[in-house]
Formats: sequence, structure tokens, C-alpha cells
Amino acid sequence: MGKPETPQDESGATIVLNSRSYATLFEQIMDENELKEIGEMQGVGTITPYTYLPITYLTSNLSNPDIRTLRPLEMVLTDSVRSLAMAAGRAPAGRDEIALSVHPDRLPPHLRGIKLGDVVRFHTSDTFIGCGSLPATRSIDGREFTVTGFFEGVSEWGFEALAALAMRDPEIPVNRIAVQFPRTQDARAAYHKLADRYRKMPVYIFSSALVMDEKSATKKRQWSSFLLLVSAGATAIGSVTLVNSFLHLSLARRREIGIMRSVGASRRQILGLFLFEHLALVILSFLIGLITGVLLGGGINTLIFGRYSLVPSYGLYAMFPISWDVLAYPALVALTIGFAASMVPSIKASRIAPVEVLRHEE
Amino acid sequence: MRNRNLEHPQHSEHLIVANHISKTYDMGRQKIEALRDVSLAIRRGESLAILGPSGCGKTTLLNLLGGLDIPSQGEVLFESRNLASLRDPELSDLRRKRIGFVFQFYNLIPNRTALENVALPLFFAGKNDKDSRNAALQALERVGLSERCDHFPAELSGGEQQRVAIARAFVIKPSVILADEPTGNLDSATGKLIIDTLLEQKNRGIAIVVATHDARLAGQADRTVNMVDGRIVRIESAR
Repeated sequence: MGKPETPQDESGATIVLNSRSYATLFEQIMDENELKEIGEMQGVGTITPYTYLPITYLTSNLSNPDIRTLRPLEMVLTDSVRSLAMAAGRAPAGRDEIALSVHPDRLPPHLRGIKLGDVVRFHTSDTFIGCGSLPATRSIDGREFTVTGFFEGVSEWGFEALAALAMRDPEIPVNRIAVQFPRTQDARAAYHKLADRYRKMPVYIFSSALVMDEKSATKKRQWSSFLLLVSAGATAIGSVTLVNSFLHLSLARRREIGIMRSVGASRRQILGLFLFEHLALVILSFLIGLITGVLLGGGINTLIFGRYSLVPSYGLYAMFPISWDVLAYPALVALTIGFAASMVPSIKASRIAPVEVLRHEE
Repeated sequence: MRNRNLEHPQHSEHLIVANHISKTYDMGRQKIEALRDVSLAIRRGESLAILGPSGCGKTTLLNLLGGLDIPSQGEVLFESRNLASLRDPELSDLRRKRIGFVFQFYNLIPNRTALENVALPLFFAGKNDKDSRNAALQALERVGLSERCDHFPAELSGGEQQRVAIARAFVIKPSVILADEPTGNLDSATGKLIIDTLLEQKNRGIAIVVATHDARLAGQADRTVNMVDGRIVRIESAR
């Protein structure tokens, strides 16, 4: 069998994954050898717990006719593959955890905001069991729901999905994106490709923009404007501070400049030297700010939402789930501002007359 | 004694020629005449001592001869080129390749090692790191400081710092070294060492112009120029 191709999305299917608890599920899955055989048969190589799989492998191994496409997640962790396969074809009938694959047309009306590519985990009983070991309980409208999941964020959303289904509450948005982070280098590259395709969506988990009501949308716009204003103000203040700092740094080195000029440094060389030094400082500051921001952001996020809330627990890579877009624009702004802020101090430094500074010796 | 137009040399025979130069500093309401109608010619490979009391204009004259400053009147010709007519890149290039400066207070960059200080002119001349390092090391060897090359100025004595400054001045193989009170801040024994080090450069064909109070240094120079109140009052040749 040749290498499987990515299926098109004309089927419009939405895949919904669920399973028993991870531990329970793990006992029921096929063994590693069987996985290996299947992988080789499908032309996707050996399947390991960390292997990502082309989706055709998944679809061809699912007996549930509703599960036809797994389009948005072109690679899924093996655990989920197993979970899907188990739920779709191998789990015993009458189970109370189901892998629910729902064609948009078949979705309950209040859930039709779910788009192709959304991965939804939910259950119709009072107890939702995801595939993980981080149990959490939440009361929604007086009813207790327990969710266990890899990511509390998913679980959180699972609560809502659960409540939506269980209580048929049309107000609860369930349109979320859950991306399972791959681990290997290849999968990482593939992940970026995937992230590029879904550029408009958050990189990791959650967005309910489609279901956002007018009030929430207005509130979000107001917040966005406010934050934009704050960041513009901070940038302006930062720029002035930067000019002052560079000016101070340059003038503090008047004597050094005089010495360099006396040994033959031209104005242009002094200008270049100071511009280079200032830009190096800007780049260093940007990198420190970036790392601090990500770490601090992760920390605050953890404080608010708990462990694994927004950043899945897949090591360092998951700590820095930053796309080139997110990185490039601030870098460009920082470099532009740094360059502009450095120009005046550097020009002033280059115009220092050596005789003026060397004449006033100690 | 007022002595105008002490020399009217043929420019081609001379390295530096100052023709009727004056320098006035504008200090707000007050104008200070640091130099008044000075003419002087520096020959290739000669040693010349400029003597005179503090404030007589020695440093100003050196700055003008080296293109660090421009005269208010008159002209300074370096190898027949009027320094005032040169643009900054040309003037910097001249300083980088043909003129070495030695200052009373050494003027080394404190956060750079002796070697890096000596290599500084070569860096601005665009030499690669390896060549610069080798040349700087050789220059330090010549002043007996190769073993102190990794030391910072603060770790060196005054005499050692001045020798580093001299090494920095001649590392570029200049035509002239302009030294402003090079022994003024040193004890007698160290001063003698500095004088010897400086005059050694003369044997390599480098002209040495020294502004000094040091009678020993003046005594060893080919010529001495005496200045008073911004004027040259006497020029004497060694017997």
C-alpha cells in the first residue's frame, strides 16, 4: 500500500474523541506488535506512542461510518489513535464512554457551531471521563460534573460540552479547538504546518469566537482596544527611555570616543560602533523579554487555570509554542524602535570633537 | 623676543609645515588666544622638543599639527596637504596611518587590555584580528611589556601605561609621533625610560615632536622650540 494521502474535507465529518480513563483504556488497546504491523501495512512505519500518524491510517481503521475524516489533526498522538480505534471499533457495546463522531448535519442544533476540525470530548452521563489522570469536578447549574483529562483546558471545555449535552443548554459554547501537541521533531515541523493552516486560531486549544455573543464580542473589542492603547503607551514611554539611556551611555564614554578619534576612528566608524552596540543591547533585551514573558505568562496562566491549563505538558517545546508571526512583529517593532532610538545618541557620539574631550584631562 | 616667520621651508622637504597659524578659543564673552602667528616645519625623522611654561600653547600646537583641531588662521600642511581642507574620512585616515599621539595622562581605554589598546588603531584601519594582535604584540615587545599584554590599564604602573601608549602610537608605523608632556606625570627614573623609548622610534625614521618641561628630553632632541604666550620665541638646533 502506498503512502496514504490526506483526505479532503468534503465529507464534513467532525471527529469527537472520548474513551475510558487512560489507565482503563491502556489495558484494552492492542499490543505494540499489533500496532507495528498495522503501521507497516499502512505504509506509515512503526507506530510508537510518540509517532504521529497520517489520518488515513486512522480512518481506514475505524469501523464507525460516521468517522470518515480527521482532517484538521493530521497527526494525533498514538494514545488518541488508540483511543479512537478503541472507541470506534473495539470498545464493547453499551459503553458509557463513547467516541462520538458526528456529522455536522447530525449534531444537535445547539452544537452546530462545531466546525470541521474541532475535536470534542464529552459524555452524556453525569461523569465524564477523559483520557488522563487529572480529575477535576465542577458544578454547573447545581449539577456536579467530573472531568479527567490530559489537559485541564480540554477538561474545562469538556465540562461545557458535557453540560451542553447533558442539559441541552444552548448558551454554552462548545466550539473549541483542541490540538494535541506532537513530541517528535518531525511532528513538530508538521505541527507548525498545521498551525500555519489554522493561523487564525489560537495555537493551543480553545476559541469560541464563532459562538461568541454580541455582548461578549463587544467586551472583547473593548479589551483589545484598551490593551492596544496600553501597549502603545508603553512603547512610547519605552522609546523615550531608550533614547535617554543610549544618550547617557554615549556621553558617559566621551573620553573613550576622544581616544578612538585620536587614533584614527572616523565619525562614520564611531557611528557604526555605537549603532552596533545599541542594537546588540536591543536584541539582547528583546530575547530576555521574550523568555521572561513566556515564562511569566506560563506562570500566571498556571496560577489562574492550574497545571497544564493552556500549555500542554509536552516539555520545553510546549513552553514556547510561539509561531514566527508572534515572534516576527514584536522583533521588527523592537528593532525599528531600537534603531531609531539609537540614531540621535550615536550621531552625537560621532560628532564629539576629540580635542574637546582630550583637552580637559584629569 | 617676538619672532615671526621663523621658518619658510620648502614644503616637499618637510613632513609638517605650520604657516602663520593662530588659534583662538571662544569662551563665551572671553576670547583666549592660545597660539599667535606661529610658523614651524617638522622634518622627516627629526626629533623636536617644544618647551615653554604651562599655558603657552604647546598642547594647542601639537593638536593643530596632528589634525585634532584646526587653526583659526593660517594653515597646517601635512605632506603638502592642508589639513583644514580635508574631510573627516581623509583626516581620520591620516591620523590612523601617519600620526601617532602620546598624551600626558596616557589616555588608554580602561576596559581594554594593553594588547587591545595597542591594537585599537589597527582595528580602525580594518586589519584582521590575527594581524592586529601580532603587530600589537610586537609593539609591546619593543617597549618591554609583552608579558603584561593581558593586563588592564588599572593593573599597570604609570610608566607602563605610558609605554603602552607609545606602543599604540608607533604600531601603525607612523611618520610622526606627537607627544604631549609624556613624562609629566612620571617620576624621574620612569621618565628617563619613556624618553629613551620615544627617542628609539626616531631611529626607525619616525619624527618625534614632544611638548615638554623635561630638560633632559629637550637636551636629547635635534631641535628645541621655545614658546611664550602662544608664540615661538626661539628655535635652537643641537650642537
